[in-house]
Amino acid sequence: MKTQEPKTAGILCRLYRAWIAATGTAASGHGAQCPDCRAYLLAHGTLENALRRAALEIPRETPAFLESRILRTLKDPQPKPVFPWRVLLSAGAAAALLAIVVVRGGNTVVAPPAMVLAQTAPPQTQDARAHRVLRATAEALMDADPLQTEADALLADARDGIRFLQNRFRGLPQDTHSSHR
Amino acid sequence: MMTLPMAKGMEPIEGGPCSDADTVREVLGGDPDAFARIVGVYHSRVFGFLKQMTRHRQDAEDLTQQTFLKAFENLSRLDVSRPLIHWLLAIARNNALNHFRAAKPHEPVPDHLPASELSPAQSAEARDAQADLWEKARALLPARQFEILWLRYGEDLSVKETAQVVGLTQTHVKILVFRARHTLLKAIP
Repeated sequence: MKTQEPKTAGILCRLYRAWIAATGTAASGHGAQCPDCRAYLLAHGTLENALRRAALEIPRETPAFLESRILRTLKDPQPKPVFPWRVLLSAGAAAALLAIVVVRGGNTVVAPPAMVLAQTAPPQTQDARAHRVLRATAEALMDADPLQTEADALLADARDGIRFLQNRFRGLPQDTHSSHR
Repeated sequence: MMTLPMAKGMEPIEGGPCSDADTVREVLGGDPDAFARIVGVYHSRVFGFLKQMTRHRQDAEDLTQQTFLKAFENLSRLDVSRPLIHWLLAIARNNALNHFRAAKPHEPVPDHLPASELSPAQSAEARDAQADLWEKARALLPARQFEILWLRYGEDLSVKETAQVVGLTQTHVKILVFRARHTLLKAIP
């Protein structure tokens, strides 16, 4: 099967073989005239046949239980590892919160004294005050009778209106509380 | 020993008039037994291909199982105009490549078949035949050239089919096959 690369293979032989390699078809011109190239192509054909025969002779035994194993896997697929988006989001949120705390805390600590003095109140104090107000409001709303709350709001609006008219028209009576109650 | 004839191209599933495309449609339509027919016909060929690629029986079994699992999960993406076996071989090849990337190379483990399945004489004969040309090709050729040579002559795929499986152009496949043959011709006495 072995064929020697002709020592005298010229440029035409090399081009011819490169053409065959790229196209897979033997051109007729040079191949018909060059015995080396003819022998070379014949050896390729012989090798192709030998490879096919050898492949057929390889025993293609299959494990006895492979088919049932595959089918069992298809019926009971292993759970896919789910990408932990929830864990990732929670971790991201925690990291963002931590970053805010660190940054705000860092500003408070490292801020120059002039900046700290310029603030009317430190952020913690403002937040705490706002929190207290909100909480008191919420508690008051939860405790109050809704109808009473609505009536008080209407009464307050009426007082505001009367005050406005008093300011605009001086001739109206001054005591509004007694007249309405 | 279970030996199946080498399938080629789009062929009807054995035991019925349905083609691969019809069977795939049945699977997608919810028929639970249709994919079992596909496994029954092609698992041997996929295993044989993977065994040639890995040279490791257990790895080939695992990769065959993975191949059919992936095929089942992605069956809706299959172009039914293409032969199913080419798609399966492409999945198997990708599995093998991922396996090689993830695992360290190891020595091949010889097959241990029960004595009732293969007689000693048959076994020796088979090993001699296998050890001859293709073993030399495996030893001489780069992995990629061997893989393409096996698809071309071992699996008997055409140049176009081989190119589809490995994701190369037909010209590239032709050149690699030619180079592989050239290397073998120079080395084999």
